Amino acid sequence: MLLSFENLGPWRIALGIIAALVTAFLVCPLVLIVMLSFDSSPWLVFPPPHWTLRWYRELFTDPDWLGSFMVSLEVGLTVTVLSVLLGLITAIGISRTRTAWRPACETAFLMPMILPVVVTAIALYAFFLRIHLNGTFCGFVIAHLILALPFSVGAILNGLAHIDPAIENAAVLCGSSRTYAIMRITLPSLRPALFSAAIFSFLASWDEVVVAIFMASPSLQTVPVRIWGNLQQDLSPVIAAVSTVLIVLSGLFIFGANFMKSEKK
Amino acid sequence: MTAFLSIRNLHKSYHGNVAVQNVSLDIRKGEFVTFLGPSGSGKSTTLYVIAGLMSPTGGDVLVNGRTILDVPSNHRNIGMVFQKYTLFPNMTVRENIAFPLVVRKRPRDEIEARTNEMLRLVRMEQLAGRYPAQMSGGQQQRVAIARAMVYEPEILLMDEPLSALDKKLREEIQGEIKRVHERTGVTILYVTHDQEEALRLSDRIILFNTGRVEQIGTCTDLYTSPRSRFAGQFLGNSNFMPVEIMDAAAGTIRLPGGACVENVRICDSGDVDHPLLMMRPEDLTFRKAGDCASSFDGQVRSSYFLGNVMNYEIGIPGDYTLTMRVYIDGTEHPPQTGDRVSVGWLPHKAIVFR
Amino acid sequence: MSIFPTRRLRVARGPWLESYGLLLPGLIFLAVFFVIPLCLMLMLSFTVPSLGLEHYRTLFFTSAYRRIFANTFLLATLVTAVSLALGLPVAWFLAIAPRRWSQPVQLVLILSMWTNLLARTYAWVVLLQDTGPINQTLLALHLIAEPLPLMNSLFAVTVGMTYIMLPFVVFPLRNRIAMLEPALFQAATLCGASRMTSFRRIFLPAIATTLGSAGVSVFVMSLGYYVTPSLLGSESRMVLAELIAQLVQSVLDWGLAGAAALVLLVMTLFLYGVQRRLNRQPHTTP
Repeated sequence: MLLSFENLGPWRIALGIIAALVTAFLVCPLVLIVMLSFDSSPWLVFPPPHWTLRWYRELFTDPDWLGSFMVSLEVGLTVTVLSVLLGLITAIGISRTRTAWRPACETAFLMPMILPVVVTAIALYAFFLRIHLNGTFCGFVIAHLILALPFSVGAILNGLAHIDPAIENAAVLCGSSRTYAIMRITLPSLRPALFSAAIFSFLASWDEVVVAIFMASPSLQTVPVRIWGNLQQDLSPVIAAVSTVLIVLSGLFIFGANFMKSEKK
Repeated sequence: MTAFLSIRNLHKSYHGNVAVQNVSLDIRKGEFVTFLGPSGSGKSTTLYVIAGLMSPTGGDVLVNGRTILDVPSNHRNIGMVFQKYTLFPNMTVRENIAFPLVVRKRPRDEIEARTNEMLRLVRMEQLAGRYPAQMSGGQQQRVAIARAMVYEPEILLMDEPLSALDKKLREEIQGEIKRVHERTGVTILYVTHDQEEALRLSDRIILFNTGRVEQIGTCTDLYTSPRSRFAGQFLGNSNFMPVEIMDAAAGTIRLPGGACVENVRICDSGDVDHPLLMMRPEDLTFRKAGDCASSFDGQVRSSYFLGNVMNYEIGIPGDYTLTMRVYIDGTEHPPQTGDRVSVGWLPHKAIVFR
Repeated sequence: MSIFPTRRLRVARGPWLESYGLLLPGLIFLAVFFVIPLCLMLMLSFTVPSLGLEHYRTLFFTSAYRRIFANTFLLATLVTAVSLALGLPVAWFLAIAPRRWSQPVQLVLILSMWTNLLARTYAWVVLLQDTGPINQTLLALHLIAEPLPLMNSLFAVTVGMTYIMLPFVVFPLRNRIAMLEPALFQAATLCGASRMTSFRRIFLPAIATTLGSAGVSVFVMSLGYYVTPSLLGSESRMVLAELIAQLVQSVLDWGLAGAAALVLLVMTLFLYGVQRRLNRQPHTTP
């Protein structure tokens, strides 16, 4: 009766307690950050003596932080567009590859996701230093595209796996050309997969720290790089404010994704 | 007779596996032909080659005497209903049915009229606005038939379209397909592994086995005159028993017990090592003991009631079991399990394969 | 088997372009910006400053570097063990608890997974520091006289990384447990098995491959992790990823960094192979 919650007896209590503790373990840090971001004391005193919006004011008037948000956004969106396009062509290519080659192809395109980011980071750093791409917008986009592509290819391949090729064949037998069948039948069914490919690609770039640390220049810093730089010096509550903004954005993302999902039904 | 659709020496192999070998057949216009056979017998592959979704390794497919192999699928003017549900998920029933006409750029009022006509034909007018995900499998396949028929193709291919449906629904849609065939006169090639479905629907059956055509004929041909052990076994149930041929011209054979029987049909099948006697269960009857040579003495092992007939398993000497099917008219007392009986058979209805 | 029609009379160029041709842009991109950089790094490890296996000898036979390997493995093992121990009950809970209880837990898991990595790590830096809430509370309750040295310790890194790895254990395990057949356990109970017996003899074997595969993937990720160890860990307990970054950033020793990165890469690929094999294995019970 291990799969019936009602019949779990004393085990039910144990499971419930562990789940509750782990949930607390996961939630507390997030709650703490949000509270500290409204904390009037610059020394991160807990519980906060007074509430203030001072850190948000500092954050949103600091041209450096605002610049970083813009850089993150620009890099992220460029990566998203390129990653979805390249991912789509590649995934269709893989799905049409002869069966014997398919696993090899898939593994090749997943590799950047499997390897430790540090390894990819220093390899790209060494290479970019030699071809003078380091610290450039283009270099940033290429580096993040390498990391985002596996997510995009994976998501679209997954979507393609749920589409029966017989449907495209049916369209061709109905008299449409192969291209028209892909545009009119296959791509529309792929819309949810393309959407998650876009989200994953954007987040892969937006949240990325390690490669960014190596790619960044003083004038070109994404939000994570700037947080990283600040963390090395002090634990200013401004970081709590930035983190809160990021948490809220993630929350909105999840909400949006769930909304899209329920919309489909 | 000039054939409408001809297949000449078709051969298809992939990755070294031969799927179809040397298949030739002719089909008349307006015929309902079933490709019957176990899975992997090459029937679906043949259908896919006709559809142009696979290219053959050898041979030719002709329509009205001209090859269609160099015509791409979308210009062959062939309709197809697949085993899986292949309605376009992002379109309503009406849009699905209209799709072939839209890609052919027909005028709007013609599309409207034809689509309505098809909706009526498959009796789906009420559900025209539904999406595929909102319909049952049977409804989806009916729409798929309408979509495949809307552009008036000369040939309609159906690849086990009902295999995912339950028995009752399957019979209902079989009726529907039969009606569509009668109303439109389209030539239908229907793939199935279900013999009952084949017998119910088709004018002619083409029996496939291991990539070859085993036998072609009407339903009665195939049932009463199978030309191989496989054909006899696949269509209907049969009893088989090894025999010895004494005189092939007179049809004289010797049974395992030693008795000789005359007037048996002898058929060169080429698929058995030793001569085999085949008897249909319904051709066996109960007799008085020792009545004639063409009877076996045995004991009823088991019996079960099938509604209008009784099915008996009779053990006979030599450790053989005969299956027989007997109509019950209620006047006699049917034999019970354990009873000793004598089973008679009709030599002219039995066949010996050699 | 190709499901795409090949036109018999034409040269087979069309289908080729339609399949392998589509792979070309991606493959070229990957070759130029992924394979070449990795090869460059590999080359540096053998040639800078002079040709030879010098760097590999240094890595494997210097006690300081050997200690770094040991630290890395110790950390990865700890994180894997704690993640599995906490992740299994949570996954189990998510799979079978009523929706109104499992949904909030799941939402929290997803939210924390999608929250910026640095934001999460920052939270632990604040929580664990000498003047942080944990130490303040313990001091206020007079349970301790002096702040506990929580930060910059193995404890801190383990906590911070478990926090990040938990979803990677919970979600695959939840999916596996949700796939198990309840009738199997009802049958076991009717056969007289106690809960403990069912758990040991049926439940654990049924989820063993998933457990193993999740464990290996957490282990692999932990081996190469950089951010959390460098923010929460101590200098004396440096791990491999930190070493690599430091060699490149501060010491500019490209040769040794390349060698260390290659060792990390080989270990990762090996473990990835193991995980693939585990995933391919058929599940022993439905």
